[in-house]
Amino acid sequence: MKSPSSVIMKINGRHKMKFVIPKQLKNPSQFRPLEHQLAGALTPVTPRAGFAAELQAKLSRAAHAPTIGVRPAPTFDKSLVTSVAAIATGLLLMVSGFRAVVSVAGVIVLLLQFNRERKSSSTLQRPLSQ
Amino acid sequence: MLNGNSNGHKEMSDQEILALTSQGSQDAYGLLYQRYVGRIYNYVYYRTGNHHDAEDLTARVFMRAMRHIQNYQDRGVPFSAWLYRIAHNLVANWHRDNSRKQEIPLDDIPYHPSERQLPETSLMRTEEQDSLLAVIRQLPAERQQLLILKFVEHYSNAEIGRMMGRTEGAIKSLYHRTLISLRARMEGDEISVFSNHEN
Repeated sequence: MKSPSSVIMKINGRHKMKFVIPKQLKNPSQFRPLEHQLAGALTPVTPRAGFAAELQAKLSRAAHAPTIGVRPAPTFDKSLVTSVAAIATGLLLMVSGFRAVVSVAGVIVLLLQFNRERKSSSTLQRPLSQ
Repeated sequence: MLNGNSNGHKEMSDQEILALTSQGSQDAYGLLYQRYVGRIYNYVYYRTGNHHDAEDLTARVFMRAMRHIQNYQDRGVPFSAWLYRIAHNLVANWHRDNSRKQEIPLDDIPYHPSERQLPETSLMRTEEQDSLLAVIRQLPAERQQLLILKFVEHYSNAEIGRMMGRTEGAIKSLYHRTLISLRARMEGDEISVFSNHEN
């Protein structure tokens, strides 16, 4: 039998009032058995004894590994490097010709590029179990 | 280092600990680890269904978190949401990798509890609960996460909403739809969850 969705009540024997029963309250225990099943099945599990300590030790070792964690802070100030490079370029221009400066600059750029790619690939491919 | 045992840190909120972590404090990260390792393990365990993979993936979660914690930005959601997101991504990768392997129906696998399975766990798990867990693992990931957070971690709908980036109402709605879906799947699998109730 279908339960009513609203109830009409008389207040003080005179005033009629209509109370709407919310849908959820009509069937409060609709999912109760399923929820009991879920509560029984989904209980906290305890990891193997020693797992947390082993992992903590592993994390601690990884934290001290040089390439895992934060990227190392640059040891030079960028402006210092730039000014040194500018002075070196000027000296090279004075000592040799324009072609030599271009050649040296090209080699430096290639080396920097190679170094950057090597660093990024080693960071990506580093195994977790260190 | 990374022990997280200093008493001064015990009562600190996640945000305060994260501030210390961003300054490079290994102890602070250790405290976060101790706070969340159990929860992440539980989440991964119920998503994968075995302790071996749960251990492996939990380790990966905390490794990845440690590598990227400097980039963590507080956007008003709990720190645990970030960890659960990492765990969710790793579990998704794990499922994707496993789906490429040959699948054997669960019914064809004889049940031999592994040596690493905890005795209290194997004693308490009934066949009916195992069937229910198998059905839960067929649900979409976010519904599984909702059930795990609700029943294993006992979070409120509001807390789950903050973690999953939804409103409390949306979580209630999702929960209701999850129960309907779960019941339909169980009836489809001829699991007589309601037989006792109806009889």
